[in-house]
Amino acid sequence: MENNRRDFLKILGIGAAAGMAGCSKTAPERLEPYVVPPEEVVRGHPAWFRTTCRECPAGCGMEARVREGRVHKVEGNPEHPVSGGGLCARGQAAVQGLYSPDRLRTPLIRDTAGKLQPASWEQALKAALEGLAKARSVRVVTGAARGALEELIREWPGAQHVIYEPVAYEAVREANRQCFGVAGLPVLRFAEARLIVLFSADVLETYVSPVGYARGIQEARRAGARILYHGPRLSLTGARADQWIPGETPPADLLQRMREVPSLAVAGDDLSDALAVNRLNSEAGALNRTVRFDRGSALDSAVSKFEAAAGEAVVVVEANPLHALPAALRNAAFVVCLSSCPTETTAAAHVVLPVHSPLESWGDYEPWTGIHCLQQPAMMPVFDTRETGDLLIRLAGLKHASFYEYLRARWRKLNPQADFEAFWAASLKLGGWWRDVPERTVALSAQAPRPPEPERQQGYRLHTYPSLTLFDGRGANRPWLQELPDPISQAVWDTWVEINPADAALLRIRTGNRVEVRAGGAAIQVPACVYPGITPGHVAIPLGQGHRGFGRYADGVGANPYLLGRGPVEIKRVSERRELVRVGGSDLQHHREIARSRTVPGESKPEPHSPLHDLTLYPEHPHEQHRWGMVVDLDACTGCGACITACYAENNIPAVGRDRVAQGRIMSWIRLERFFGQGTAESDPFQIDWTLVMCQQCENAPCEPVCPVFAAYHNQEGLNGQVYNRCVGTRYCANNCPYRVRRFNWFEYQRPGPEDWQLNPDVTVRTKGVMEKCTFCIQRIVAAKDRARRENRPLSDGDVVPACAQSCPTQAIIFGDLNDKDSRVSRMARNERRYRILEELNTRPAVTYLMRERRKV
Amino acid sequence: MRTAVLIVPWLAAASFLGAQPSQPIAFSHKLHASQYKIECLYCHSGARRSPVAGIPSVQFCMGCHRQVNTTRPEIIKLRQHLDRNLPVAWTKIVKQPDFVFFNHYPHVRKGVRCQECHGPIETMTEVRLDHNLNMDRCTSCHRQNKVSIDCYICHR
Repeated sequence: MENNRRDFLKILGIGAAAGMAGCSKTAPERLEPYVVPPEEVVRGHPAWFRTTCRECPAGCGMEARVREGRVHKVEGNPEHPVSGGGLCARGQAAVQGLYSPDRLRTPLIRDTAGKLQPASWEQALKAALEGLAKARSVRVVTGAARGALEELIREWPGAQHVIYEPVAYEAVREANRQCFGVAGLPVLRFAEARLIVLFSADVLETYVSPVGYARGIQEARRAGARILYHGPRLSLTGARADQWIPGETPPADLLQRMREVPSLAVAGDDLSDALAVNRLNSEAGALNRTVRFDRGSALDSAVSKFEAAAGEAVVVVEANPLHALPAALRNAAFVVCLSSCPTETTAAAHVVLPVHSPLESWGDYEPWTGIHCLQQPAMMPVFDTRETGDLLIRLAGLKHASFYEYLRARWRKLNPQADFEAFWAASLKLGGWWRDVPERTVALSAQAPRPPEPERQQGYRLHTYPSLTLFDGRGANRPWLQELPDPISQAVWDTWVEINPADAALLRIRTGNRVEVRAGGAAIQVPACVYPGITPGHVAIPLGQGHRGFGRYADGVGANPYLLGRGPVEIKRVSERRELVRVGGSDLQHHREIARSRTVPGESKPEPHSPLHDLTLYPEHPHEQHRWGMVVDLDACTGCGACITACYAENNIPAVGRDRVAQGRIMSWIRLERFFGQGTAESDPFQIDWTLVMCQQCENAPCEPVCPVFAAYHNQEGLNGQVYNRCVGTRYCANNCPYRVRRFNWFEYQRPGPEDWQLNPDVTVRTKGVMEKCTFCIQRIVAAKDRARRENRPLSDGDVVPACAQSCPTQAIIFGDLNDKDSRVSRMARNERRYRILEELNTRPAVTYLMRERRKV
Repeated sequence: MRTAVLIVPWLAAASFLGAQPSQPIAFSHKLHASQYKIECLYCHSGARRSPVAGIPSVQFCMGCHRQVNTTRPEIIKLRQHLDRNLPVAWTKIVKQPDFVFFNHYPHVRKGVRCQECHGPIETMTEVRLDHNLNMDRCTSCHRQNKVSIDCYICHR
């Protein structure tokens, strides 16, 4: 008998089929159409709801994509004045807060034995009201909440409102009060500056409004701006700057240089830096130009520390003070916690009331005076939770019908001239309402103090900084954020302490060794990360981890640096084991020039790495209609990782957990490759370059010919297809891929309910034994074609936007049709900074990189 | 050998074909589509504009049945679903695996008759599927009509 490949596969199939025949039939699937269909729902088509991101105090605009009544993904609102279309990784992970499997499902009451027990809403509200009535006074603790919620709390008779934010920039505000008489944060107009000086201000990571700032800085960059970073630790923002000045004092001619061009200096949360920066801005003429006090910030009244008074009742609203301030509530007589997820604070409460997550609630937020952002529910509540505002009305004994009506009444007052219903509908559609504010000028006060001399102290100086991924800790229960590698340390699911190599050598510490960090009588144990980007004598630890009671993904991960006291820091090694889990291989590029940069003026355009030969065994691919391609502008990329999380959300990528990442089984389709290098200037001893690596959709793809079942194939539009249902898991393709972008499903990854509700219905959920990789968001290409067909028009440039490109705050990723010579991607791909990764292998990738520029300052 | 290869999967598949699970409401396509000549797309309007053809909502059915045949037991059942706001749980007959993304709209747009895939549905009192809706059926039709058979058309 003649046996060919097809027959062989059929025979293999017999075994499977025979096995199947013995099984009982699965239960029949049901189809349940709506009883009464909601307006404007077309099954299979997404609906979009504009709302406001509440994952940090920045208040970026957000659009929630809803399919069949469930939110699947959130994206930036392109018409929003704060963020302008981008959305950071933390914002993307808001859906994981909505669908967290740890969400509180019923109210809880502390019983006589001191344990929290589930209770009915009636019981819990009764207990809360009784407890509040007995207390001497009431204190309401929220995060930044300027808007209807803050006004509602103001109506609470006798209650004191504390706006608690662990990162509240109190030093900056204090310096502004002393220098300008305004105890607030300024509006920073980066786009207008041509010299940007950052004093440990991580404006591209977590500082006040990172998405908006990244956009402004990129706009300035396109117009030729230069960025200087001054500070003891080279953060991601510092690495993005043209030059890092690590010393104690800024260069002497800084003021002179700032005077020459429109400039802008920003200080991190340090009083001495902030005083120096205020003086610089004032003397360089930046004040009232690029640094303005027209609009107040929602953070202006925030505090990072508070303590409840004795006998007081505390109502904590969607905040977790006990993570950073374990003793904040120890004197409180009674604690009511309104929270969507269990936290350290709910664990200490007497009554816990589960509330809607921000994606299920009504609300508004005013991050800057006059920027009124609306928040609307994008879906029905997942659990039996209630609206925060409604509960506050009830607890305060107010007479309002509902928080929704209260919100509308407030908005009626905002714009009294307008026809309210039309104004309300327009604001919901836009995502808010923004108005101009009168200009306000300030001047440097004659009594403005000089920055104090930095105090000399024994031991190491400790810097704790909000983590790019977890911020102040509120992101720690989102697995996407835990698994998003920190761009600098490349570590996941952990806390680490960064130590200079010279200090590490003295202390005999290597990366990954467990060390004890002791400060002010407290100590934590964390793995070390030896990092040349921190100056000797300094150590740095990211905030965010070390939770107890924040759900399954956060608990027991890392350590909590908030617990460390002030004062000199001692460090000692406690274990030689290598514990830190980091993705990526070498810190050095070994002359492969994967992430390229040049210093201008001076260095020329990149040298192409021509292939040794241009031969191929296979025929050319025709690509008659489209040839999809991508450009990654490394001069725009800030390394923030928003694209990576957006890809997780869009493409149903599982988070695999720390142990599996350690085994090299991380599933991310895009990764940030970070390399250390030597700077060219003597004052710039160390620099960092990075690049994004996703499937390069090669023309001569090494993965394709090795697949025995044609699961990896080349499609007519230049994509390296991967057919999951055909894949048998030989992993030959991954072995043959020089870019290491293919990911293998070693397990069937579980998503505990309701986490599975997040899954994108347009993308297959891959099973065990299947290879997967970036598809250039094929489902979005198909959807765009579908839309064009419905509208009877050809596909035009910009119709297809992959998830990564959509989320990017600086539009560093451009996607389009390379066959169309006038498309944006084609034009960008002809830029003189272009290069391709590992071009010498003759893979002919569809992804072009534009090398980064370091401008001489 | 070749016969065995073909028979065994057929046996396995046979249990899914021709099966007629009873539906919660005895809706007859024969009556609606054949006798009263109601267009398929009148009720399954999703096929005109979206990937999903959709099953009409209870409210949609009641649009006619508020006036028509209101005393029939099946219509009374339908009315109760509306009154109690309870969806009708129809048993799914025509289905594709999770890794197949079929889109009704382009097919309807190009004038592919519903019966090409769904069979002579207008003759059925109760819906059944008498043939296999496997990939071979899709690709042969795509080939005949010179439509792309790129894997990504259906699998992504």
